[in-house]
Amino acid sequence: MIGVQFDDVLRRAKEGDNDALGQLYADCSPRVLGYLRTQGIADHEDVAAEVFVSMVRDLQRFNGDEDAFRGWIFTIAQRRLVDERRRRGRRPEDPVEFDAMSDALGSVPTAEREALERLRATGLLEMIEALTPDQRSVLYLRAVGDLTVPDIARTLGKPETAVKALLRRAAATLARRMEQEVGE
Amino acid sequence: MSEGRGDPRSGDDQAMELEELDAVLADLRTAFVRPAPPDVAADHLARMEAAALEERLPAAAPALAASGAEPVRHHLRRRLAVVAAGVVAVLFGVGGLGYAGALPGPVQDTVASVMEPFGLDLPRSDDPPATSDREDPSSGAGNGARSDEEPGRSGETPGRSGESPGQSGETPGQSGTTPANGSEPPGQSGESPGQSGSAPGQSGEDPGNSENAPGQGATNPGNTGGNSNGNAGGNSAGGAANGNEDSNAGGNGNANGGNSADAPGQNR
Repeated sequence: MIGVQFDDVLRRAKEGDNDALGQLYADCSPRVLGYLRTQGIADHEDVAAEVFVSMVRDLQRFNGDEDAFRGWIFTIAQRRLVDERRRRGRRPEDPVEFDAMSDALGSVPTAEREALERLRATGLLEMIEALTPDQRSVLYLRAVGDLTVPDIARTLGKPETAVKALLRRAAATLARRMEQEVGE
Repeated sequence: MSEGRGDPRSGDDQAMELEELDAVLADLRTAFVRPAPPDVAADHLARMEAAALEERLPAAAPALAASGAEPVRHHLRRRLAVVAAGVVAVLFGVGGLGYAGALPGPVQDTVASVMEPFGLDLPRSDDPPATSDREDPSSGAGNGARSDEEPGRSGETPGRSGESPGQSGETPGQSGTTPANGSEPPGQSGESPGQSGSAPGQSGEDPGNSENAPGQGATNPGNTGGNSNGNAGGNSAGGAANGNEDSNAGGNGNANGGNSADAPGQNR
């Protein structure tokens, strides 16, 4: 979070200040890249680059606070994601290649690698992959994107009530399957 | 926990469920959310800065001018290409219209003057328009020398029948007093067709106002020169206005024989 300085950073970024653009990128890129990783996009870094280039091009038209800015970035990311899937003819149901992710995490800090291994060990990643595409998107936007329900609704173009319902169903499904795993 | 639709639990229970979900998914956040690798971040930032330059953000403008960035040169080249294509299209358009003589007078003259040094002889606004042989006064029916229709006879042979008013009993153009009936070929009398010694349409009798029925008088201008030109065959029966019409027809060689059928007073 940039915090109270966000307005100033945004103003300078609109003026073309590279440092300000760097601050916005540093604040948003981990979540954007993380969300794209969860979507099974092989070249998620290229898609992320398109997201931030679009951000720069449309920055003059954005007005709002930091939360709105984050939601706006994820809206761009979601559109680029749809474009990328359309371009590659890839369905959103295609599973995330967690094995490749795990390999890529070979050099990352231990906490992240351990978290991923825990997710795999509990079977939670597979459970998430078994959710519907909408439930999965809502879940990842909440968990990885750290977006509020209204921001998720704007990002996906759905009513807030629909987003809340999707979250509840996803949580219930995951909880039920985890109980089943424990019972077995 | 059960599926959300029709869930009988209270809102508090559902809120707790979401909190539990967030707790469970904390590992998810930890596993996926991490800073971009340095090389990736550098690449992304470079693309963002290039995009900022392309968008000509105010602060980027001075740097842009100093660096002569490639993206902007690309934009300039594209704009120049568009302008050049537009100029070429306009030149071709104006040139084509000028060649066809279809431009407004002053513009046509200007274009002709501009093109003249290049060896292109374009028509000027005061040049006579190209005409067909049929409309050429020097070879038209007014001469009586060549008409597509036989002099004194229109295609519908107006004034031919005995029923038609304006008939003198003679074939139009064959009156004994008209040049058409002389030894010379029809329409080639010594006098100008349709004049009869008077100005066209100005015979001694007021055309159309003679005591005779319109087109019936022997001296009716409509029956003199007009007939000899093959036009007045129809015009001779033309009624009140025949005098002027015939005179004009004789002088101008208008091939109005066929029109005579519609002339007032005809064939009644």
